[in-house]
Amino acid sequence: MFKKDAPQLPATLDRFALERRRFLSEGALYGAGAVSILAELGLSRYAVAQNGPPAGGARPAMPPLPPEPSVSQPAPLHDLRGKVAYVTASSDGIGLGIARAASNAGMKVCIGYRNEERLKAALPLFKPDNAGVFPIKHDVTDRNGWAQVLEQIKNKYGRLHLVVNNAGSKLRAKVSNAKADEWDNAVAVNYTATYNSVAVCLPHMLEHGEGSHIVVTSSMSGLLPGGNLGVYTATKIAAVGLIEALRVELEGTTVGTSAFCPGGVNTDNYIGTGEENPYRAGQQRPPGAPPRPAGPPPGMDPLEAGERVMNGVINNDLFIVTHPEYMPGTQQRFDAMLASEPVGETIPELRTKFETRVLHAGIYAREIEHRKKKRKSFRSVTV
Amino acid sequence: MSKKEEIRAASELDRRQFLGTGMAFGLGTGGLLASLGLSGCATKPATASGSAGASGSAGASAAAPAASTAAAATAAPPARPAPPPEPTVAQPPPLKDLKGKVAYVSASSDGIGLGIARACSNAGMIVVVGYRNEERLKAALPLFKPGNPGVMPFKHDVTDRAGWNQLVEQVKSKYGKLHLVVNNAGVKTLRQASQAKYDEWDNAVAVNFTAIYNSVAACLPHMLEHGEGGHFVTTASMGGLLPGVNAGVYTSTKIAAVGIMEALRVELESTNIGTSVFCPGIVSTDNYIGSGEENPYHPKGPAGMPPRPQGPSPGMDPLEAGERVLNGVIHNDLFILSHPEFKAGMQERFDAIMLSTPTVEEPIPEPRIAYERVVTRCGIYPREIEHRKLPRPSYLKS
Repeated sequence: MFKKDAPQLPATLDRFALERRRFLSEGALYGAGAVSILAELGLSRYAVAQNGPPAGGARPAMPPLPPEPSVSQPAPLHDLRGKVAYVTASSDGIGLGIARAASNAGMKVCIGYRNEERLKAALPLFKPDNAGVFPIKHDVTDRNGWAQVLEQIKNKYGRLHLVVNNAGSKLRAKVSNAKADEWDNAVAVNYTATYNSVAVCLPHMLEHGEGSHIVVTSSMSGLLPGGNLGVYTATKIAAVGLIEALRVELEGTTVGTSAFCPGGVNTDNYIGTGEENPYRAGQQRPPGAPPRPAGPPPGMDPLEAGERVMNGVINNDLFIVTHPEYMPGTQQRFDAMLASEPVGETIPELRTKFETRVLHAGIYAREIEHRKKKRKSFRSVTV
Repeated sequence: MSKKEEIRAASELDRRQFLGTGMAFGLGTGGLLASLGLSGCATKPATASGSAGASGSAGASAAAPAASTAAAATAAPPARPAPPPEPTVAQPPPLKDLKGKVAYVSASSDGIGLGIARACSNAGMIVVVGYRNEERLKAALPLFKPGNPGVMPFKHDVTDRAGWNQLVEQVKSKYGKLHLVVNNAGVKTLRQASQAKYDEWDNAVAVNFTAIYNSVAACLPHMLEHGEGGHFVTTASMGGLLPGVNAGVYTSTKIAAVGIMEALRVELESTNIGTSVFCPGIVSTDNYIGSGEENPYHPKGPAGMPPRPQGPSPGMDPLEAGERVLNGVIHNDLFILSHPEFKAGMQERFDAIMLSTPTVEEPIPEPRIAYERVVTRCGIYPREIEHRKLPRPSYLKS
């Protein structure tokens, strides 16, 4: 579509690069046999015309694929007003930002907390005119606790619509030298807790049938494990993966799913401003943590982070990314994975045929289309 | 549609991609990104600051000129220590020569594990065969060629941490050293994460994810101590890169397994311990096409899975899979992929993530970018991309 005299764009800026890469990976690498299979299965958008009808007969009969939705799952929780949210670990940090944004958007907010002092400091930050705020003491690794939380919310508000799995352990330990209990705790909080929330809350959400949503606060480390703190990055990657798996599973239901992957946000965890929780301000930085910079905190305001999460919820975004400065590095990660595929090999037809249902995951193609739509500012959520 | 309208229509998509490289950040930010080595395309407005950054000794001197190019230099980015020097090339393979070395392959009495163990044995390695089921072990042992070096069976549940320590002790007392650990044990619990029972979930996380941590905790100190070079491999799955199958317990724990190996590469890159994650598509194992399923949670006739085909098994031969793993080990490939037919689907997943980059409504604060620069990129990936361009002779041909 570009004229010949158009300037040569770097590959990363070429808006046709995506299509071209996809074409290459379908056509050139597979060899003719595999392409015809892909085309026959409706998996190839670009290579259909290049190949005649596949040689039939020899392959084992396969039942037809179940019909796939043509568009991404419509946002189940597009109207926040009057709905009920539970945000774990929301007495400070990003959780507090999400809880405040949910409250400002007209939701009733249940605040998961463990530390009463922090809760006391947090509560005045909710505007007095907002809908109800309901603190619940809760350790997210406690499965009975989850069941009790749901009971309490049902008794208080009747229904639960939004669960934000925000509790996280930012353990600055390497996989290669973490103690067993450090590892187990990080897995329990950053990963399994989200499964716990689904196991307990999903049946209730499906039962009441009103649009609902499950969010996990992962991290940009869940998409780009850049920091040398493997326990954190590995469990955050796991959390993103769980949300993707849940999208596949729940796409046909009234429950949406999002993985929130923020970069630097002004929490105690990150810079220790003491903005909203002064008692931790003097805490010593753990070894390996970057020093606190002088001057104003450099990260994103937690309330803005929360507003962006709410925006992701009402749009049912699979990935809520807020810090674009990480994306070149993330692209490098993906390119390294793609570059690891063997090239120039003949792919057995029968194998490809058998793998049909896992060769692609429709949620991604639909998410790509979903992302091309124009959308309002994140600030429009709470205005 | 005029040319102008055409461009405008695509601008939304464009802008997100531009973000990736700093153009949409504004001139100052682009320059800052470039000075930090984060920008692939915004170098032009930043040539001055880029060269200053190269000659500067501290990170602050790299950031300062970039900040001065911004129209309103409100607050200078806080001074930060320079990041430690990074390697320029991927970690050289620590385990280049396999002959005479000692390998432990968990769950290698059948399936992919047996293929890997046989490939190790054929390559001249001493192989410790992890197993749980004696019947399967008996069937497996005759498949090792009689002329090959020793094969030592070791009964082992990978979720048992004490068992890992015993493994290291036994290998040390029998063979002296352990060089290669293949975390191959896995449960293919074809369960949805949204329906799994607590014990199903906990078991899958323990075997597919935490067992890798267990192996590192027990074996790494010994491997670092003997200093001859070592390697950790994890058998994940294509489901770890493309969670297409409707079985979230499996896919999400396999994604986690990929993540832990990437984290380990970051941590161990400067040591003589290599790391690889093996992500196969279908391999002709019991798990996929047979019946002798050991996993008690495996539902018979799982919903959503294709029926078992008649005739010859459609997957890759497990021995070939094992040989591909060893090729990955001798080259220290971070990702060992064997089934290129998944590439288009992977690309779609990555595109969906990249297109989730938000539209920038206000300029990104420079101090934020400066502060985050330690984590906004990860050097193992560009180095792996370069590594993949090198010729890669197979160990089988030498």
